[in-house]
Amino acid sequence: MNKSSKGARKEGETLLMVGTKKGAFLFRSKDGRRTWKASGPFFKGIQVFHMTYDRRTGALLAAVNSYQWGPTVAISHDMGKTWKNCTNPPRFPKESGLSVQQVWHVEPGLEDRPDEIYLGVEPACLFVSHDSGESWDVDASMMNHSTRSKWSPGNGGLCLHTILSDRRDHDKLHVGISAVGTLYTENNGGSWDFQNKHVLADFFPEAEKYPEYGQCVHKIVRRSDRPNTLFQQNHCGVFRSDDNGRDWKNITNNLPSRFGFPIAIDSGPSPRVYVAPLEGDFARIPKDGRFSVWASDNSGKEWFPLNRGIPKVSYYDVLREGLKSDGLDPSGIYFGTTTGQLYSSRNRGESWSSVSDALPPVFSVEASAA
Amino acid sequence: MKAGTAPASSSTVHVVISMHLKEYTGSGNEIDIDAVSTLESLAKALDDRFPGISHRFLDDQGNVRRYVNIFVDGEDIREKQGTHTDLSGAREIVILPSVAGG
Repeated sequence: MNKSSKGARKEGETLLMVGTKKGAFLFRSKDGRRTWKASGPFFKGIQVFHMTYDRRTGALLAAVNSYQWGPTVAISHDMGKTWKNCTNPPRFPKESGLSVQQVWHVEPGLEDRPDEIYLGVEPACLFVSHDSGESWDVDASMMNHSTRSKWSPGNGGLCLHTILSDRRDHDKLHVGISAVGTLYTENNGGSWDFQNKHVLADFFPEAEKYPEYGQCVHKIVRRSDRPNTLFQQNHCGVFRSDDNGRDWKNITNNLPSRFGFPIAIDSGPSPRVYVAPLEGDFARIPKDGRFSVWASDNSGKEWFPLNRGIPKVSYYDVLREGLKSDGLDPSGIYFGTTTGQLYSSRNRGESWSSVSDALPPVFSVEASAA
Repeated sequence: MKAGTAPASSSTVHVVISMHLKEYTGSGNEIDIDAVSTLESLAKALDDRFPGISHRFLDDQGNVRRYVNIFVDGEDIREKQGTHTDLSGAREIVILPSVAGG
């Protein structure tokens, strides 16, 4: 594979990668996130569920789902000018009876394994590439999990949408599956255990509201300075774990709704957590027709709205991959909507500006700062 | 048979692949390959020439993707024996995306 630096990212540049229903777009800022230069659509007319940047190789990675030609992972080494589909796309073995329907989330591995990339697919499973995305191996332990036959899809499908690595140990990994819950491995996918203790699933009968699995997790993030602290937006509320996922506490508290899809966290010693509540369970629109990102500076004890710069009438929906931070100080925070708006904030959400108002429906946003 | 296309000999089959897959085929989306008898052997022959291409028209279980059509001498294989269609003696195989109106 050509790994030339042609079109490479510039020092100090911030990247905003947007996956949409009709292709992917790249926004680049070289002036401290004040202005953005757009390129795309890449994969014109084709669904891109997720696009991200691999800092280790300088490559863009895209999870591409064509109605006609099925799912694949595509790689660009020149910031989207050219793309190459992987040679051996993720496939289940024939004896499994399964076929990859969609590719949902692509996640570069850690620095000490520079060629390793993870991929979450539907039906829910983890795939791993050991050659920078050219070929993909199924995680056999997850594929053959003893409970798999009882896994039920959420509204979006039986998808593995979250992959959280742990910088302390590359063999430890959390994943999130709708509507199965959080699973955890300590042996690089050799075995998987559920981590859903005290996570509510009240769409089950009374006696089954805290099952071992079956929770509808929507997205999970990790606190970088205290890596044992995880946050998750769930169908049934927002939850925090302070022991690396072994136990969870409901921190929905004063949010206007327990329901929402994305959750994001910025970095630094006092990270801010961000969610995008929607009226749940069935309306799935912002309360009173006004969209706000809600944030907490005290790990979910209290939440407050951040909506300066967002229209007062804003029936926006933001999907599970649609709200991300860039890790800078002060943190940039970004969201994309299913009606094609893309917003950015350079001050941790205190004020928002429009990056684009006319994209196709946004599935995912990813931000990466140099 | 497409006008102007030389008929394949009995030991070869002419394969026409949608230009949507030109990333794999380049400009060579019409090729002659050694005759094949099954869809599986067609997929292998095409993968040998264009690595990874078969996954775009067959799923992991070897089924033709829902919105892809494969025509054997002008007949949709779904109207024949599907994935079990005998391709022996076929002169032309065409792989195209389906188009739905509305």
